[in-house]
Amino acid sequence: MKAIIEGENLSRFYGMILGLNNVNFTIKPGITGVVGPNGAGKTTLFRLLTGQSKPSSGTLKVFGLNPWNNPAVQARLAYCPESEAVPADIGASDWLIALGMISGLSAATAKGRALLNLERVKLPSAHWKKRLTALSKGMRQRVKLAQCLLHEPDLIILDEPMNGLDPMGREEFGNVLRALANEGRSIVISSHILDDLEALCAEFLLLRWGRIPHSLNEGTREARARWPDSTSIRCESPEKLARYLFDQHLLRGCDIATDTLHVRWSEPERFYGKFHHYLLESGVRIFEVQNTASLLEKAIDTVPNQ
Amino acid sequence: MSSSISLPAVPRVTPSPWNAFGGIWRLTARRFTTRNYWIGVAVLLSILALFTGAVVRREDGATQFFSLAKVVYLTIILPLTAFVFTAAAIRDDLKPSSVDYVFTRPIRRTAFVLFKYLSQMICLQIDFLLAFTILFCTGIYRHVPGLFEAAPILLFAQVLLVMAFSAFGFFCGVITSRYMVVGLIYAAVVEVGVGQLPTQLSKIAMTRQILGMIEPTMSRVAPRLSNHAAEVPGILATVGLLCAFTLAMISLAALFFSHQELAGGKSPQS
Repeated sequence: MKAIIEGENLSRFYGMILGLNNVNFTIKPGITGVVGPNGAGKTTLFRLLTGQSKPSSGTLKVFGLNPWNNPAVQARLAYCPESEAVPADIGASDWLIALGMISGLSAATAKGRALLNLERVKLPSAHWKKRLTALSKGMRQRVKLAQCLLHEPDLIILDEPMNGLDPMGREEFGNVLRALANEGRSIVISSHILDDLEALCAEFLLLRWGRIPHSLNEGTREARARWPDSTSIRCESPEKLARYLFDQHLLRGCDIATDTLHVRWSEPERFYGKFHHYLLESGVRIFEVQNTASLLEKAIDTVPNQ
Repeated sequence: MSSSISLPAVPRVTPSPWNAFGGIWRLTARRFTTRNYWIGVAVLLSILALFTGAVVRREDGATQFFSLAKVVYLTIILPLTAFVFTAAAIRDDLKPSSVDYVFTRPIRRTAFVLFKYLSQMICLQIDFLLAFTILFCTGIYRHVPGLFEAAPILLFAQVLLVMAFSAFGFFCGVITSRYMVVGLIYAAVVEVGVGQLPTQLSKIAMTRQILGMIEPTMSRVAPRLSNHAAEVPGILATVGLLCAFTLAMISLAALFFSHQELAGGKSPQS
């Protein structure tokens, strides 16, 4: 698959402050997660991708073109910033219409697209005319996503878009992103909610202190090839289940907290290979089985520092 | 490396300067349509009407009225308001609430500068038309002689001043957040001519040009106000100078803005 974004020896410094430091990467079509701690350079990367900043050195190409202040690139991408700042004294639908027109749509088309996309991001119609600053954080996130979809971009860049969304909202947001990916749009998304990111993304880019120490793809593939070392099981009788699993020589250790059994497997592949059988045979009513650490978290933890 | 990059395709929506102007107009005009804004405008216009009514008396009303219109309205209130409002408007557009959404869209920065300036200037012209109407109506109420003769040239002077000082405010707003400091230095050195610098910069002051342009009319309607020492440039020369100044300011703003990197909503370290 051909890359849509390619960075070569890309650096960006702000005086003495390091934003990105000589990074090489490619991003292919699909949903790509950009992961890293605060100050890792994610927003700097996004600013370079959207053409708001210039690289200090190296080259960056988006759809084969230099994105700096380049309308030919900007016509094909959309950006949803992390910042919660939105214009005051303007309603959600009016704002979207104005932004749609700046993207090139006629007033009538922009209005149609604005309403369609507000519906798509599941913002209740009662809030469409409300001032942006009067909307809740979650609702604003939906409007911010809707503004990305107005001009049908090929690439959507989302900086922490799930901040402020409740679990149901995150699920709906994820569904919208999957639908967009199915329509052939590429998405680059950063989030600190690694579980959500892992559920969404096929590819990852890890940033740390302005560098890309490792392509997380490899890390996650390795991690996914392994069964999780520890699991939390919420059940009716954690003690009974722990006794049964010990008898089967499956456990290295365990902790019990009220209705949850936290287990560390001695041979995880043996449990996961026949987990239906073990859980049924234990005779304990199971409510929930959950990995203790997300695979992505695990992969990030195992990435060596450079 | 570049061989692996997919060739650029045509965007699904073709950028259109005309539609972009419509979008920028909507974002700009909304600031002039809020309730708080109109409350502010109503208060200021009431003060203007009351002040004018109090200053202008029946006897020698023409001198008092046109003195007020020349000295207070055309050379202080109007340039200052046009400058501050436009500079503040462009600074607003450099805030995260706008930068991340507007400047990631397919519009050239030069086009943005032009469209933003036009939108802002048109809105200000409408507001000042209202102020002029209030001033004019107060003059009628006070039976000021020569009002109808002077009104067209005063209105034309107002249009030119709003155009030029908006452009200057726009330029200062683009280059610095401390636009008031730049504005005050300019006003002191060029418009007021503090210290009469050897360069005689104040001779090209915009307000001086405008006052020169309205001088022939003023000397007819309010002879006591007439300044015989004033240089009287032709209307065309004044219009040409103010248009050139406006064009220079907008061009410089566009040039500067095209090369400016935008910080957006987060500190660059993030």
